[in-house]
Amino acid sequence: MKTIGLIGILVLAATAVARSQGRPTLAFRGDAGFVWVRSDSAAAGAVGAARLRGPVLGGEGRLVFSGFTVGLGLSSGTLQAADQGTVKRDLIEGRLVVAARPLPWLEMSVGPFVRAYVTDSVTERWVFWQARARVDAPIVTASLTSYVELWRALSSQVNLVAGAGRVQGGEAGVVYRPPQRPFSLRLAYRMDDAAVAGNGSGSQTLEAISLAIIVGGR
Amino acid sequence: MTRATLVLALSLLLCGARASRAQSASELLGAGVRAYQALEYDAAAALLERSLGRDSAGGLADSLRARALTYLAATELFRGQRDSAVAAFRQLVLLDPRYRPDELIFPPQVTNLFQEVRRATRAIAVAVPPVTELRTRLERFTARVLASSLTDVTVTLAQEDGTPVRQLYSGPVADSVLVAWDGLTAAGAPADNGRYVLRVTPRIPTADGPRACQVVLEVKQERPDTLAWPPALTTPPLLPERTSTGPAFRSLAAGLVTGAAVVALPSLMARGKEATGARFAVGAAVGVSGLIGFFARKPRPLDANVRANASLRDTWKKKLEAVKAENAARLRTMRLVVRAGPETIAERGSP
Repeated sequence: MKTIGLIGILVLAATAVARSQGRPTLAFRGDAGFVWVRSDSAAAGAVGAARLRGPVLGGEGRLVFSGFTVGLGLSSGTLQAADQGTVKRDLIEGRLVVAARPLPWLEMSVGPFVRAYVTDSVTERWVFWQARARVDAPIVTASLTSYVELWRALSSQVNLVAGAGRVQGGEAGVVYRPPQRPFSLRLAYRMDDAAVAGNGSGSQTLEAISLAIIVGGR
Repeated sequence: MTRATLVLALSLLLCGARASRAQSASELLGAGVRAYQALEYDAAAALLERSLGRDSAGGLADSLRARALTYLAATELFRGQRDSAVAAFRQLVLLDPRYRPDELIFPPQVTNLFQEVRRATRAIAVAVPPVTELRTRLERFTARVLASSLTDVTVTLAQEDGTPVRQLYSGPVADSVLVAWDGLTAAGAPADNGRYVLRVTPRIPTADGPRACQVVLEVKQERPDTLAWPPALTTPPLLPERTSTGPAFRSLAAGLVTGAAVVALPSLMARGKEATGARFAVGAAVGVSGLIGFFARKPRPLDANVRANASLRDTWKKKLEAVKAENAARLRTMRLVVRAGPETIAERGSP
């Protein structure tokens, strides 16, 4: 099912690229952020209840053509227990996104999202198929723009015994495009909430703030 | 015979009698002239006196009346009735001070007597067109003042109640003088609607001097068309002179709403879960960016538009002044219609 969806997305993107009369443009984003993870899924068989935090670095590349965007992103960091304990986990996130702009201020996107918490012994892996909606609100035209993006998982899967429940989240921030400069700066706050299925078996929330530099894609 | 037929017959008889009387005045004049030419002076005098004796409705017109008086005076002169001849000529001079007997028809003793009577009979008259339309200041109503001999006269225009309006002429009249009136009062305003009296009076009234004469003038104003004022300047064509407040407030709203969304995001998407204070820092930053946007896009004057509008306003004011000036000129040159009544002889001592 997921394979079929992925193929469909790629076909849609390829068709859009083929139809696009303008020359596609590339945009790259580099992120540096800090993440807080609050996991309360020990009862469900997860790695364990923990409060973790740590820096994360990431990047994303986007191909933009005729109002469509195909993007591929990856971020990674090492989280430590908030209480200075010895618990450590690597956080790895990756996603593929196909987006379209039906309106100048609205972007709709879909795509798979993978998040993994890796320890020496076990890897907790979440896979979502997300539907996202992003609204851009210019503060100063072509220079300063705020945005709010919300998403919800169309389907979710986790390698926990209990399985994945509802997964949703949001991000809001501001993008500054200095005049006569080829890059933009973005400050954002993100909040994800992933519930584990079962009888009150817990959840996992992820908070992040990030500062990003975006090159190209104007 | 029915009553209707009787009434119709009587009407026809009355109309026929009136027609025959009007006809007979000119026929009597013709017969009198023929009798004069045949040297039948007694018959001529009788016929001419009868032609002059008719009432004005069925009588002779002024031109024929002047002709009849001339022939009657000549007839009386040749009959040896000099006083009667003088009286006839005197009536003739009073009737028309400019009338002169034809020297090809009448012998010198007749014309000489006429000149003698004319010099002794000082008469003045005024002739005006029956209807005159004029634009005040620009055009003139004209009246010809006639005098049988050199006379000093004053021509005045007054309201019907005697209130003076304007003096039009004061000076001598040897034969005739053309007096013009531009439709204005002494104050320079167009004459109001109403009845006016154009009066010609001798400057030095004497018992045997000419009597004043006058004509009643019915004056009616016809307001001229005036131009409409140019339409008031609005936007457009005026350009906005300041930027709108809308973008500034939209920027502020975008920043504040997004900042609030950042702060509220955990409550919306992870209800009941704890969240760090990091969101407040980001929310504040976004909110401050909204304030920056507000001040960056606050209303400011658009100098180019201000200059363009000043030029438009100047042009509009010039147009308005031009229209006002044109309207004022049109109102100053109001159109008057002057209808003249018959000339009458003023009573002695009347104002």
